[in-house]
Amino acid sequence: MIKLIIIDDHPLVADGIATMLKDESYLQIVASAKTGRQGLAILSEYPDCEVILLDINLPDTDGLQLCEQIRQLYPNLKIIGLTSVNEAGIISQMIRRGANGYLLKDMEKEELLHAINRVLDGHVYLSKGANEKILQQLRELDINPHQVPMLTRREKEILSLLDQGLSSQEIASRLSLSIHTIDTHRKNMLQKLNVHNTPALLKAAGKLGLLG
Amino acid sequence: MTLFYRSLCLLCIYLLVLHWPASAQTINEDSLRKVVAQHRRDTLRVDALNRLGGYLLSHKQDTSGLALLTEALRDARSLGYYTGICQSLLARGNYATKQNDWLAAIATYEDILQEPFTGKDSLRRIRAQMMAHNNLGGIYNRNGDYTTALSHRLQSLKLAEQQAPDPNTLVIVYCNIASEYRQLQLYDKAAEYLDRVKPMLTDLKPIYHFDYLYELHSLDEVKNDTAGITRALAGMKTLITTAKFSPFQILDTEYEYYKLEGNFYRDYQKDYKKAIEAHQQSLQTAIKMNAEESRLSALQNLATSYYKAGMTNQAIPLFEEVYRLGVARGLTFNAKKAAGHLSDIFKTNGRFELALSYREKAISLSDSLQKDEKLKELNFLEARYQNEKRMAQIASLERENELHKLEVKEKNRWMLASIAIAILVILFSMMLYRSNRQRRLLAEKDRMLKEEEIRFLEGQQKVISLQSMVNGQEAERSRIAKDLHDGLGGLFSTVRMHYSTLQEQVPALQDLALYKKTRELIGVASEELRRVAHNMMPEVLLKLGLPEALRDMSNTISAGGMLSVNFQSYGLEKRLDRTTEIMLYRIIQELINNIIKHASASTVLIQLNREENRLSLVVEDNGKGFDTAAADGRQSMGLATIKSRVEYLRGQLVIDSVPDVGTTVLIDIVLDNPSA
Repeated sequence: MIKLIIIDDHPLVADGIATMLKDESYLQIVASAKTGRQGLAILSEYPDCEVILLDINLPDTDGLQLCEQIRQLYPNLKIIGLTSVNEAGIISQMIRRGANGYLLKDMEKEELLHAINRVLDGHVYLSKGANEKILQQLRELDINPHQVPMLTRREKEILSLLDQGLSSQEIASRLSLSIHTIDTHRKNMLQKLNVHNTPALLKAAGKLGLLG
Repeated sequence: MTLFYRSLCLLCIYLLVLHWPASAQTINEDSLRKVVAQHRRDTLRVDALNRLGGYLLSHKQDTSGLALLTEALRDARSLGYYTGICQSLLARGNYATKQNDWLAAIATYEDILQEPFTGKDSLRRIRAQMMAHNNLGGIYNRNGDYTTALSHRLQSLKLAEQQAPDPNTLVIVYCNIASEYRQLQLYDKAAEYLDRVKPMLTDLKPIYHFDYLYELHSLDEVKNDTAGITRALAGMKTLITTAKFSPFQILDTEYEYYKLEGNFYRDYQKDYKKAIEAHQQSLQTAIKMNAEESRLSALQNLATSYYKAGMTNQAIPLFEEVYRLGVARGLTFNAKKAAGHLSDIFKTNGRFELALSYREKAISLSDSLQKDEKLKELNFLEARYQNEKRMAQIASLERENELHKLEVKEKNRWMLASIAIAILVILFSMMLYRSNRQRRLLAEKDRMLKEEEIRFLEGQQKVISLQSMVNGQEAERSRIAKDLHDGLGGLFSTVRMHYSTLQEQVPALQDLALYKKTRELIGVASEELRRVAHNMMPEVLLKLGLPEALRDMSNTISAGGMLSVNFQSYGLEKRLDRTTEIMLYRIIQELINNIIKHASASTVLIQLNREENRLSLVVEDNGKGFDTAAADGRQSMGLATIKSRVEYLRGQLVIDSVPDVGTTVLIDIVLDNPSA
C-alpha cells in the first residue's frame, strides 16, 4: 500500500483527487493539509508516506521554498508539484528545487495515476500540458550561463568606433545620439565583458572575436 | 484667530464684572431659584432672574436662560428698573454675540443706548452705555470692521472718563482701543494707549494686569519685537506663579500663557523641545478647563510643534484628532489646518494617496470655511441693515410724536429726519461698497490660493496618477489573476477530475460523442483561463522576478516561430522592488507588441544591465525602423504609455531607429534604493 499526502488549500481540488483515487486499492490518502505549516506537521506524523502532492500556491508559505524544505527533510519522498499556472519559469524552479514532477491541477485520473507511477519508478514526470517552451527551459538548466555575451547592434557600432580611437563625444555626433546614451551603451558593454575601462574592453572584445 | 478670541475674552470678563461685581465666579443656583419662586415682581426677583438667566446661558449653554431674561426685562420695564433692564439686555446681547447672532446682538446693545433714563443716578446710565459701546466695538472687531469698532471703543472711553474712573474698567477700555489700533496697523497709537495703563498697574486686579500684558505681547508680536515678547512673557509668568487669581482665571491664564510660551519657543527660538513642553502644559490646562475649542487649539499647537521638531509620528495622531474633532464640532479652521499639515507630512513620507486625500479634505474645508465666512459676512450685513431700518423706524416714530406736540418745529424735524435717512443711506452704501470690496479681495485671495493648490496638485498629479496606475491597476490585476486561479481554476480542475472519475465508473460514457466533446471543451476552457490569468499577472514575475519572467516571455514568443527573442541580463541576481519589476515588464511587453505589430522584424534582443543604482534596458530589433518624429497614431499611442511609465520610473527613454536596419530602444533608470 502506497501512502499519499495532499497539501492543497482548495478543498474542492483535494476532494476531486480523493474521488479519483478512492477506487485504487494500492493507493491510500492518509491525510491532507490546507497550509504549508500543517503539511510539515502531517509529514512528520507519517514517516512512511511515499508520495506527496504539493500545491505550490499556498496561503501561508511560498510553495517553491516549501518544496525545497521538504526535499531536505525527506530525501526519498516523491514530490509532485500541483500548479494552476503553466509557466516555464515556475515549473523549472520547482524541478530545480527538488520536485520529481508536476501536474496541472486540471489533470484527469489517468494522468494522475501515471504521474504517481512514474515518479515512484524514479522518473521525472512533466504534465501533458508542458509545452515546448517548458522543455526548452528545462534543457537550458544545465547549459553554462557564462556563455559569450551578445552585443547589440548599437554596441557593436560603438565598439568599432571606439576601436578606431574616437572619443565618446565624437561617437555621439557621428551617430546623432547624446553623449549620455553613448556612455550607457559603453557602460553596459564594460559590465557584460566584466572589465573596467575602454582599453580593457577593446582587448577583451578582440579576444572573443567581437571586433570587426 | 487668536486676536479675535482674546478680544472676545476681554469682553466676557467685562460682562462678568457687571453681573457679579464681587467674588462670585460660581453662583448659588438653588438660592437664586428660591428667590425667583418666592418673590413677585420686585427688583430683587429681577436681579435673581437676570443672574440665573445669564449664568445658565454663559456657563451651562442652557437656552432656558433666555426665557428668564425675557421675564426679567418685562418685569424690569414695568417696574421702571433701569439697571434691571440693562442687565437683562447685556446678558442677552452677550449670549447673542457668543452665538454669532449679530442681528440680535447689535439690536440688544442699541436698545441699551436707546433706553430712556429717568432716575437721578446718571452714573448707572453712563456705565451701561459704556458697556454697550464696548461690546458693540467687539462685534465690529469680530467682523473685521476695525474703524467702526474703534469709534465705539472711543465712545466707551469717553463715557468711562465721565465717571469716577475705576482703573480696572479703564484698563479694559484702553486695551480694547489698543487692540483696534493694532488691527488697523496703527502701532504707535496702540502703544500710546498701552502706555496709559502703565501708571495704573499697581492698582489693578491681576487678571487685568494679565490682559494688559497679553495685549502688549500681541503688539510686540506684530512688531516682531523679540525683546518685548520676552518681557511680556516674563511678566505673565510672574503673574501666574505669584498673583491671586480666581480658580477659573488660574486655568484661563495658565492656558493662554503656556500657549504663548510654546509659540514663542517654536516660532522665535526654534527650541522645539521647550515648545512641546509648553504646549503639553497648555493642553493639560485646556483639558482641566473642559473647553473644547481651547483643547482643540492646544492640540493643534502641540501637533505643530511636534511636526516642526520633525517628530511626525507624534504629530500625525494629534493632527488626525484635531481634524476629526474639528470636523465633528464645526471648528472648520482647525480641521483645515490639520488636514493641510497631514497632507504635507504624508507627502514627505511618500504616502501620496493619503497626502492627496488630506489635501482634498483641506481644500473642501477651505471652501466651506470661505462659504461660512461669506455667510457670516452676509449675516452681519443683514444685521446692520435691519438695525438701521429699525433705527429709521424709531426716528420716524419719534418724528410723528413730535409732530403732534410741536408743529412749529415740523420743518426742522423733517430736515433732521431726512438728513438722518440720507446719512443712513450713505452709510449703508459705503458699507455695501466696503463689503463688496472685501468680498472681491477675498475672492481674489481665494483664487490665488486655489491656483497655488492646483499647481501643487498638478505637480503631484502625474506621479500620483502613475502611482495609482501601478499600485491600483497592478494590484487589481494580480488580485484578479489570483482569484481566477484559486476560484474558477479550482472549480474547473475539480469538474475535470470528477468527469474523469465518472468516465471510469460508467465506461459506456466514453462512446458518447457529446460526453467526449464536453470533456474536451472543459479542457480548453481551463487552458483559456490559465492564459487570461497569465496575461493579467504572470506568476513567475511575482514569484521569481524580472529576469525569469523575461526568459519565459522570450521562450514563449520564440516558440511561436515568428520572432526569435533573445534575452540576457547582467547584475540582476538581486531582485528589484516589485513595482519597478512590474513596470519594466509592462514596458517590455508593450515594446515587443509594437515590434510584432509594426516592425516586421525577425529577431529581438532584450538586455538588462544593472550596476549599483544604474539600470539600463535595451530592446533592439532588426525591423524596418520608423521615423521617431512622425510615428503613426497607433504607434505613438503605445509610445505614450511607455513614456509615462518610464517617466514614473524617473528614467530616460531614447529611441534610435534606422530605416531598414532596426530600432534600438534604450531606457536608463536611476534606482531609488540600490540595496533593495
